[in-house]
Amino acid sequence: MSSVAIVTILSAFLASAVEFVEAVTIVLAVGVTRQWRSALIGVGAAVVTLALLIAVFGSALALFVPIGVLRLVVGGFLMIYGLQWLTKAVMRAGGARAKHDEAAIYAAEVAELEAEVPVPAQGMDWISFTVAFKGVLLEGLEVAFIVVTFGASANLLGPAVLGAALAGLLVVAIAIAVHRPLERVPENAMKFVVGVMLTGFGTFWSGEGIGIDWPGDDLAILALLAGYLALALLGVWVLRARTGRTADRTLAAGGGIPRS
Amino acid sequence: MIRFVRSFLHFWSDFLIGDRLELFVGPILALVGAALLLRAGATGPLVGALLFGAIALIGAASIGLATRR
Repeated sequence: MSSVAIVTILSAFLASAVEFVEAVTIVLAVGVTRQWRSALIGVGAAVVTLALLIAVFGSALALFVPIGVLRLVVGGFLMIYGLQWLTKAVMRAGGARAKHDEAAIYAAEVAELEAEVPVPAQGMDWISFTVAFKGVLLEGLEVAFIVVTFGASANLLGPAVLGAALAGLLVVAIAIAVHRPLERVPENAMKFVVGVMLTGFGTFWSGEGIGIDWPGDDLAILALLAGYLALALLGVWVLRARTGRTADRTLAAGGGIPRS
Repeated sequence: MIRFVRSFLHFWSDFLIGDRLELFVGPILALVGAALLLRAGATGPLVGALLFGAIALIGAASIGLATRR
């Protein structure tokens, strides 16, 4: 297996794991507060919809769009998407933005669902179905986007789907075992790594799309990943130093530590 | 129908652009600039390095803007 295929599996795995954790939080909240059966039917419907989207768009992109155009467009989108993930992860790691809190999200979701109309005694609970369907579809759409773009650009749809499927199985298995939101998953660290990977691959492919002959061909991907990783770590260090100074000044002025 | 189109567009703009427009427009402009440099005869490695630098700068500028807001 090539190193690009391994990195594709890893990227799809990490990106999908983050999204699956968020989807599992929503499904758990619906199942626990309302009705498991309708929630699980909603999950099934969303998974089928996502599988169809990946199959149709993945094959259509690979078959009908010239590889140069494909790499430019999807590489560009990957770069944009990766940069969004990476900058947020840098700000969270640097203390300039609140970290993602699955426990708080779960509590808010439960409170919202408890305020809804009571669960019907018989038949489907459409609120459970809709909330679970929407949650899994929206979180899964991000996974589908990454899987399709990665798969189509590098002609590695199989490894990308494999990485996403492994992440899904692992997250669902852990959720069934612990039966509560997965709070201890290092979501920010994972988003940080995925952000670096998406930005690096996106830069490489979109660059190829506009006609850049990267020195060393595929090896240039490793150089881009190392470069983005080093700069992102530098960004975290700078932000930590800055937020530390701001907190010191606020304390010296007699105030509390500001929340970002 | 109009409501559906509006919510459809809103969903995709939220999905792709998010709350930081500079992270959507910036990389597109960087790619356009890189393509123009290639057309003007600049070498691939140089344009690749400039593209990398431009993307890193856009990320840094966006973080700077977000932490100031």
